[in-house]
Amino acid sequence: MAEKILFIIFASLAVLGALGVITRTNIVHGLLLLVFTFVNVAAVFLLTQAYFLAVIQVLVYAGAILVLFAFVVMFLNLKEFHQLEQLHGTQKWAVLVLAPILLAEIVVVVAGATWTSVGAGITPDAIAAQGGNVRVLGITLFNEMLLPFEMASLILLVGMVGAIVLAKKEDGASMALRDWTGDEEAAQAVVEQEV
Amino acid sequence: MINPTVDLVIQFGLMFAIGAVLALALMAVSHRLAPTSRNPNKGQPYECGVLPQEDSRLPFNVHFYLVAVLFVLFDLEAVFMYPWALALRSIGLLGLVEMLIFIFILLVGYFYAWKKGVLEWE
Amino acid sequence: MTAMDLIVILPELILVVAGCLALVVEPYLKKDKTAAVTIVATALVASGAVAFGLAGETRAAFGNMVVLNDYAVFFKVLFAVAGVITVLMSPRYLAAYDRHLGEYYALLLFAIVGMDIMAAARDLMAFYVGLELMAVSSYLLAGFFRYHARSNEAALKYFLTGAFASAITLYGLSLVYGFAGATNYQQIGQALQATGNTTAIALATALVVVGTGFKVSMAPFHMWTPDVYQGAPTPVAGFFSVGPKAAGFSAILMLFLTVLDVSRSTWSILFIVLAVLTMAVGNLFALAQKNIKRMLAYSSIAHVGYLAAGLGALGRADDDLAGQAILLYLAAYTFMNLGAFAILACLKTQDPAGHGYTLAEFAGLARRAPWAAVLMSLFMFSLTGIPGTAGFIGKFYLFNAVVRADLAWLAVLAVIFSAVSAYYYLRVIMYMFFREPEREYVPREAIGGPLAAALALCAAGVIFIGLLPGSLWDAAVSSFGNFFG
Repeated sequence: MAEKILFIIFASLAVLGALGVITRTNIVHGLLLLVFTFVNVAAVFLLTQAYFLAVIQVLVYAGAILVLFAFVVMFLNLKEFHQLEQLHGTQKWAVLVLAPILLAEIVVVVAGATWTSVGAGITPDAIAAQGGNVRVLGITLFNEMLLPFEMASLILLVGMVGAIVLAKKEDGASMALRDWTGDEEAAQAVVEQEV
Repeated sequence: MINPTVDLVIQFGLMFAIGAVLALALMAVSHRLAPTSRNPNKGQPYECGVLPQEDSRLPFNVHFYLVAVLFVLFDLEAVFMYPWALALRSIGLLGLVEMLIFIFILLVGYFYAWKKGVLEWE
Repeated sequence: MTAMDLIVILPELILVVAGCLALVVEPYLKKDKTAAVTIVATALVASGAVAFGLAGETRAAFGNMVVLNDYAVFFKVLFAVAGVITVLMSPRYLAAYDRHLGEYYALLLFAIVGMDIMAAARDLMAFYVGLELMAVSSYLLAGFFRYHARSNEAALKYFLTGAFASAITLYGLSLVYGFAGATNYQQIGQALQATGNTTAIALATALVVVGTGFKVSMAPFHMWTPDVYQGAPTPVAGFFSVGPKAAGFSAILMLFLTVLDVSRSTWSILFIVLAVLTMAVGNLFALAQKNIKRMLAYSSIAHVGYLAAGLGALGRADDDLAGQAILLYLAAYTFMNLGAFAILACLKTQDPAGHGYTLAEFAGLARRAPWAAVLMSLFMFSLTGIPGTAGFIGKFYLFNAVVRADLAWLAVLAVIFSAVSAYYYLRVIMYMFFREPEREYVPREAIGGPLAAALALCAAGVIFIGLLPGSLWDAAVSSFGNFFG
């Protein structure tokens, strides 16, 4: 019972925070609300006894990822985000009708579904006997999930290479925009060129 | 007896609530207790200072961003080490080799970033 | 895990090692990137050859995460071939934009590793990690020309729609996991057989159809395709139109035939509806395109429509004919579409600043560059489906399978849309041979070297499959069917 109440509290706080993120025009406020959402999601993870996920949620999302968001905000130097023209005005009304229908559909269908437990014998006690949540996760990760684990490192590598390829300052690239600063029109032509 | 999970979540919630309240309270206290005298001249630069001409939020050097991305990626790598360290005893040598391969692949990225001069400040 | 497990992923291991090697040598290379290109091309050939050599073997590895069987081998060889052609297309083109970097090739290899894993995966975890590896590398390749606004736009649009599609797929798959309590394809299939086709499974099926439909650009989830293809570097666009698309179909076939076999009736109807829509959108919008690169993007959507018709037929029929035809079609499509993009890359390399891919630029090409015009005609004929080319064989087998599944009306519709497509494909040929150019063209030196090799490979593939489809059909027949090995 207490778990249910706590779940409702943290889940609704997370949803409210997320709503705040997409409705704030001040992007820094949006960012802080995002941290708030992440922390509440971490609490929900704790409730499902996914302690490791909860720690990661705080450490990686509320910590590291948010740093990146903050950098992007400072990059773009957006103080206030004002939508200059309302695009897709009619779609907004379609969304108001369709989104609740989809939500209702998912709720009805999922509530009526039969769920299969992942495996008999996986109880909190059994996990505690094996040395706790994180240890069990580690054993699974390094035995059954070996291949996805190693591929995760490839994804991280691709991310690293990508960031450097897209964002590193280059010297000696003749197409680089700073070499065209003398001639605005030529620079613009290069930027807009078909590739 | 209270459920341990519920107990944990209550502790977690309390920690963040106390953190938030404490931060707000400290700000409020210093705001109330500090002697204030409001005057437009107080906001001006002192004597020989130059009047601010533009916004304090300046566009950012992209280099900071790259370093931040590298930080996040290696942070994620470190995250994988917690379950690894706890499980190492039962996964044995295989686990060691797996982690070495994982680290090696990221090391390739590190080497690449180093040689590309991402870690240097001009 | 044993050493035997490594043999199963040997083609991918080769690619990973070569990709890392390309990254390590890249900082030491000056303007000349021959070393990186050589490493990568060799690795792709080796990967394809090793995969081909493993044909006929069946074994599972890493606790049934991935398997080695003819199905996986078929796709691994196909991806390696597409990769080799893309690599051959790239050096001169990238150099013309001063973006000839070793990272490009490394990213391409990592994307192919992800695609290989998608085709070989028999577990949702491995599938999803493969999908993400492919997707993240693709976003970066799309935005590789960072100084060009169109390339940035392509990367951003691809990233946003791709992330959205991944999330939808993942939501559907997480529901499946919840219903079945397993991530292994076979175990899920068995668990879901026990419950039967419930509404909840139908919802999960619909979500997976939508998510994967985004990835292979089925209408109405195709909106990103023209912009991404137009903005991405041309060799990359060519690669997107065949590689990730074929990988998407490899995963779709696996997911729907094994994991969601229970909801056959649901997904076959969904795919039939999407097929009609996709064929219509692809072909009709392609008619209006003046930019050949965009035209090819819409044409690729149209071809996905034909393939979706095959998926619908596969769900209806008792045999595997449609599935085998889809494999054949994907192979034929790889050669003809990459060929068409190679011609575009060739023309653009000769004139980076001037050539705008417009139809008018193709006027009088037959006189300026007769070889390019002849090859482009071959690829256009093949895309239309003229007998004697690979495109005809692909369409013949595919539409035949659709008819056999009692969907004659769908096959008729597909043929009608193929006739419509003749208009925009043959228009290019008409411009090349019978139109006077609108402006003066400075004579350019003929493109030789790797690009010519890429064109030769594509043309040879198109003609070979067109005239002697027997061996490829046999490969498709033996590849399709035994998924678990």
